[in-house]
Amino acid sequence: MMTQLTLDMGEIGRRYNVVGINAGRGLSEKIMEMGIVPGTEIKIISRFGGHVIVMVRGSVIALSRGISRKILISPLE
Amino acid sequence: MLRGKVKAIEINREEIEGVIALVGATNVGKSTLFNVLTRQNVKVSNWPGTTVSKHEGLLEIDGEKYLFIDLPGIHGYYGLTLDESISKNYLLEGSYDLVIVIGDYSDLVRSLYTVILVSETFLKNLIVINKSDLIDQESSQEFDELISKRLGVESISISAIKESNIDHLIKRIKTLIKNKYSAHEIYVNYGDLEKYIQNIIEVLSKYSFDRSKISLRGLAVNFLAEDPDIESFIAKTVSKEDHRKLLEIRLTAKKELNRDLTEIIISSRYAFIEDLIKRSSVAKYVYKETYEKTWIDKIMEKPMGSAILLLGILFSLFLLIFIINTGFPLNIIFSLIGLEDIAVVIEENSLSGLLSKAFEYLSDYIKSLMSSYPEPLVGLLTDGIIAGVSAVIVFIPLIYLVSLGFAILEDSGVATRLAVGLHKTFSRFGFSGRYAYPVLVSLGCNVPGVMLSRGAFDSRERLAQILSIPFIPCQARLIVALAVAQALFSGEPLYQALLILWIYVLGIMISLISGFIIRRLVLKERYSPELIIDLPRIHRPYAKVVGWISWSYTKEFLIRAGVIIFILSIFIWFITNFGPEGYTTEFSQSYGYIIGSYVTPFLKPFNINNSIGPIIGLAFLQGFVAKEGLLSTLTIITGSEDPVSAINSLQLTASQMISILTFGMLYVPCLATLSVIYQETRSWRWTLFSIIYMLFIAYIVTLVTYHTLIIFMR
Repeated sequence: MMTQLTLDMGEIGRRYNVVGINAGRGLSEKIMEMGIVPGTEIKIISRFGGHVIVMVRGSVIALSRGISRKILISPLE
Repeated sequence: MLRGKVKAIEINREEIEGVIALVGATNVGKSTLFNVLTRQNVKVSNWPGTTVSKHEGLLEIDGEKYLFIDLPGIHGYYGLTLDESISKNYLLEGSYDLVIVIGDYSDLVRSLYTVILVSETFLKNLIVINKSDLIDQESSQEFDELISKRLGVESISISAIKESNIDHLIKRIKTLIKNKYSAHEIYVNYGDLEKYIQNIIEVLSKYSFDRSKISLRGLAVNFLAEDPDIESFIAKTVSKEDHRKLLEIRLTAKKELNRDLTEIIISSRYAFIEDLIKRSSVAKYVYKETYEKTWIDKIMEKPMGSAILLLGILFSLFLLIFIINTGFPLNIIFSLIGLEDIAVVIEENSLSGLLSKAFEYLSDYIKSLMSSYPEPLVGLLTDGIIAGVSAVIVFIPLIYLVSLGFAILEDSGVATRLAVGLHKTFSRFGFSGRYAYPVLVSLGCNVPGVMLSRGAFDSRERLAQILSIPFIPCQARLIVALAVAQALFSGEPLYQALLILWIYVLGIMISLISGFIIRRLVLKERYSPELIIDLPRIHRPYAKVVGWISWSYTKEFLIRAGVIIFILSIFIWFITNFGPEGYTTEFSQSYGYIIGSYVTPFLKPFNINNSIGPIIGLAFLQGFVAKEGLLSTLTIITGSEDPVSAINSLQLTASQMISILTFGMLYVPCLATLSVIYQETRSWRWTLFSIIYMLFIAYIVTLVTYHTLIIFMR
């Protein structure tokens, strides 16, 4: 079993794989349409103001803690 | 967003060669392209039944007219937002000749998602990829060819801001419309879903959808993704029996695949886009190993970084605006170090000071010219009409400067980062970090502040913003506060500054707490708003874009609020100069006095003399029209030389004066703000609510202030 954690717990500078999204209708579609789909590689680049700043498919996206808690990731090595 | 000139253009559909819709993700430069194509020959209205503004613009070329429609920016279809729904339904209705779907080289993968999404369903599309100045010309040409070859859709790379390749684009638009062009259907491979897509197409193909505009494959895919707009579009056309059949196909797909269908669809689209990019040399621009942090990112990572950065930017921006506009706080600083003369000069020569002076001269001049005419006529012209025009004009430099500052922050990408950095602070009060903009702008004027609620995260937060913004002390209220401070603490600039500071702290705090009240108690929402947002590249703001934004704000103010301010200024002139006995110069004979006297009972808890009740009442009535009207009314009805001596003539104690000032800062939105509140909520109920709500909060705060103050002072 791979270690799973939520996005807000990830380390800065590390790469992860998106495993799942645990949000209701509307929000989960919104997250996915932003390019964060299960199977996507995601890199945490920074954190400020309680937000996680990630790089996905060449774009930089900020997610508030509430949303980042709903995204399951596992470390990529 | 508010872009382009607010100018009434005549649009006669019969004269138009073609209607072209612009669609794309936010930040792709859609509005820039729109403004470049239409040369700002633009009309702004609202999408029917909504508060989302609709921009239409005309391009006239070789005697032919083309109408462009700027659809709301969308990132996807399935986020259930109003903007997405408006754009989608416009396209489904099909009253256009061409859809330009816009991508962006600075955010290629994400922006192409929207491009694929739209061109998959709507066939009269032309792909335009903006910001080609960020990559080499060879790569952009190669990418255009690749898209045409693999998607069967024409693609043109342009740079809207540098205006490169625009002529070619216009030529192609003309040709495509003349040829009644439809692009090929795009085939994204949806893997396991293909079987079900085919089944749905089979059902749909019995019906007469306009196949030159709409792709059945596109409809089928979005139906499987449970897109509510596309679902109801299909339901309107197909029979009940077939609709049931379609729902069954979807249910079977879910059961057999045991996966979220939307997830499959979105992943497949992204896989398709990334495959496309990897075949092209643009890939080297898209996939960077490291993200280069800008200086702003570095500051914001530090604890308190974003707060300090914001305060720094805000402080310098507003200091500049305040100095230009009211001379504040330079006038106070100078009088503090004993240079009273310089302080007066600064105040009188501030932009707004000079403007009001010009109007005073004008009205005095007309009075002297018309001295032989009947008094009511001269009064109407000078104190009514000219004063009304002046009340609007004096605001213009202010609004222009505020929106200029805002436009610079917005266009450079700094505003988005600030919103993110401040989100945590604001979310404690039930706002998202997006509330930073309205607050920022409202310090200048609440009118554009209320308009900026359009940036809110959702419609509920937007309502909370609209109802809370009017508590923010604007510059008109600053002028009132300055006069009271001068009257109360004459020759004591330090106390003056402290009183002003108190007014700001109080107003901003109440506005924040109001967010909590509205969200938790009125909307009964239990959670704080969440944020998921793109961080655009930081770049130097483009003068052209900044110019457009600030100019369009100023124009919108002139048209939307200016007219109301003007009309009501004249109305108020009437009620203060006419009474049951007809024209009068005696204040106590006017309708205004009668209306003002209703306020008297509410002044009881403040031990205020009954005789000045109507004066204060009338002043507040005037302040409802425009806050600075409080001062001019007081000056006129007390027969004083200037506002400061007018305030002194009321002979109030310090506690009473501060309490009345506190009430005056919070009590109601001014009429211009109120008109924008109605414009934005499209609801008389909420507009009325905002008045009652503010009166209620202001009265309570004032009571608390007064009874606290009398413990310490007289």
